[in-house]
Amino acid sequence: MTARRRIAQLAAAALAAYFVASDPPTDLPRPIAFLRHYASQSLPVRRLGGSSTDFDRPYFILLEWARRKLPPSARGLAVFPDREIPGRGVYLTLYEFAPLPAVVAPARIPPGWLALVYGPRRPPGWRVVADLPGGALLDPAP
Amino acid sequence: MTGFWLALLEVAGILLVFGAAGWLAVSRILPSGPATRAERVAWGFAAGLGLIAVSVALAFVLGVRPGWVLAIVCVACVAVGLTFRVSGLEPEKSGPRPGTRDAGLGRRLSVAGLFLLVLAGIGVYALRAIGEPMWSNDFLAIWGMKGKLIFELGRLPERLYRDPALTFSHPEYPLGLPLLYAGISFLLGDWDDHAMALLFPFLQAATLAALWGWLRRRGASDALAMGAAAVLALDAPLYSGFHTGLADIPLSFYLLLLGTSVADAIDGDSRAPARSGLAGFLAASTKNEGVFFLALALLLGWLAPAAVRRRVQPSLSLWLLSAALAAVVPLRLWRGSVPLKDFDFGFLKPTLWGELAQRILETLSVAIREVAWPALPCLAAIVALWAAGRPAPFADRLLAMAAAAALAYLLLPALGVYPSRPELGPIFLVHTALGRTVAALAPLAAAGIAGRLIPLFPAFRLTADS
Repeated sequence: MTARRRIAQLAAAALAAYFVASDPPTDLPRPIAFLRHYASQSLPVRRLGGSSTDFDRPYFILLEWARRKLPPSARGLAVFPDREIPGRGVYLTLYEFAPLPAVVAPARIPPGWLALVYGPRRPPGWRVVADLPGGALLDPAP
Repeated sequence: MTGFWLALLEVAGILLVFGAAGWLAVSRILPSGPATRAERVAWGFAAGLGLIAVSVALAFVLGVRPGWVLAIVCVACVAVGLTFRVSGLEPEKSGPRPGTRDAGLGRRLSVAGLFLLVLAGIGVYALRAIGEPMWSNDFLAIWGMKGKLIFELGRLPERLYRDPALTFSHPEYPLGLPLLYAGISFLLGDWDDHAMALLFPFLQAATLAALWGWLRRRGASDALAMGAAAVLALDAPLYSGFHTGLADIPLSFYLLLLGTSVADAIDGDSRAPARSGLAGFLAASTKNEGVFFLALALLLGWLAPAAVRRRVQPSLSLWLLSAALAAVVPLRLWRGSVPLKDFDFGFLKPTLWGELAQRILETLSVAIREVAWPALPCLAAIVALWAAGRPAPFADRLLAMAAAAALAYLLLPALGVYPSRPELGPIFLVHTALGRTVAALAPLAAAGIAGRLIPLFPAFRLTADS
């Protein structure tokens, strides 16, 4: 019985050590510093400082500007980045604008939707609704 | 106090208030007996989360916008219905209590040390969870997206399963967690995906309380129960920043409640079948595999010894089947049949068995090479813990449930088909889902393994509260 107890205690200690070693708490200063720095900021600023936007923070800044400038009449938003956006960037885009329907780089823009262009490109014939940091909100309707 | 800290306090308040309401609602079916206060609190918390989500769905059915009004009505109904019955939180007055009174100083110190480890585990995870707004892909694409849509629109939009632009958000998944997010947001008055992350450390703490309480009730020493809770608290593969916002941590909590209550039911606890139904409903409302676990629970009931089966089976079956129907039917009526997105069950046709066998081999080889091999020290420690224990039917039932689920998680990727890239074969699910889904079995497995160790670390049964 004693040997079994000892095996159980050692195995439990090893398992706990494995868990700690698999993700050591060396990352803890980061959330502490994050909360100290950002807790007084608004939620979009906190998201801007977090992991979900680290693939391209200027892109998120543009999304946030666009969200504030969208006219209430917009029925959806087609986003055209001028560079490759990773899958999580696509998810973030749709999440950011929800409940407004949004699509990244669609082949066709549905009627009543606006376009958000990331980068300096301005497709001819599209009316500028708002010039934004890093891009522009455009109305593709003729 | 800044906006974030205030919102965090508000979320904590919502969770505590609804935990109390949930406890009131289910107090008549909570475990009774000594050393179960922590377990009862955990069950109350689970019921409270269910109350929030179901209240939102009910408000939509009634055409009322959810919010504090509905919450107050809900809490008042529960309180009045149970005539303010509060005995569940009072100390038990009778029966032997797994004692610590005669424990020596060394033993008390070791238990205190283990408790500090539990607190450390909760603290570390809490920091990781609330250290920034919820950020995981699956939160943004699935669980948070749906919750935000439900909250912002104030209804269940058909877009959730009809919009081709949202197919990545898995329309076939249950809506329990999105409804819970929406419910918290209605109560909060805003969609705050940072403060709402507090839900997850609460879920962790409730899981540990349920584990500790159940093991103590089953006769484990305080050191064994606290040790099991400490190891689970440190389980970084489950309690990680990446899992925060996803359905795996809530599911792991509900599976522990389901497994332990089924084991209690088979051992003759007359309140346990109803608890199994509650936990099964919560599990099946959170992830599709919850229904699979309900089926496993039914099977365990059927495999019980004949005398037990005759006594227990009708009630247990009724509650488990009711739970499955309550979780599945409303959703099915609302959105119709939605196929599982990442799977092609056509591989089960006899004409494709050759290809299926090849896919299974491929899946197993990648799973062993890329998931099991790196986790070999962890698996070896688990096997050693299992081997050190003694066979105990109540604990072995939980392990059977966890093992069956692990096997299913291991084999299911063989049916996997990535929608836009079939050339990826079955391996993508091994990479994206296997480790995460198996990690959610940890609380269930911890209860089973620790249950087998009870004969080695029994509780003192020398004293009775007077």
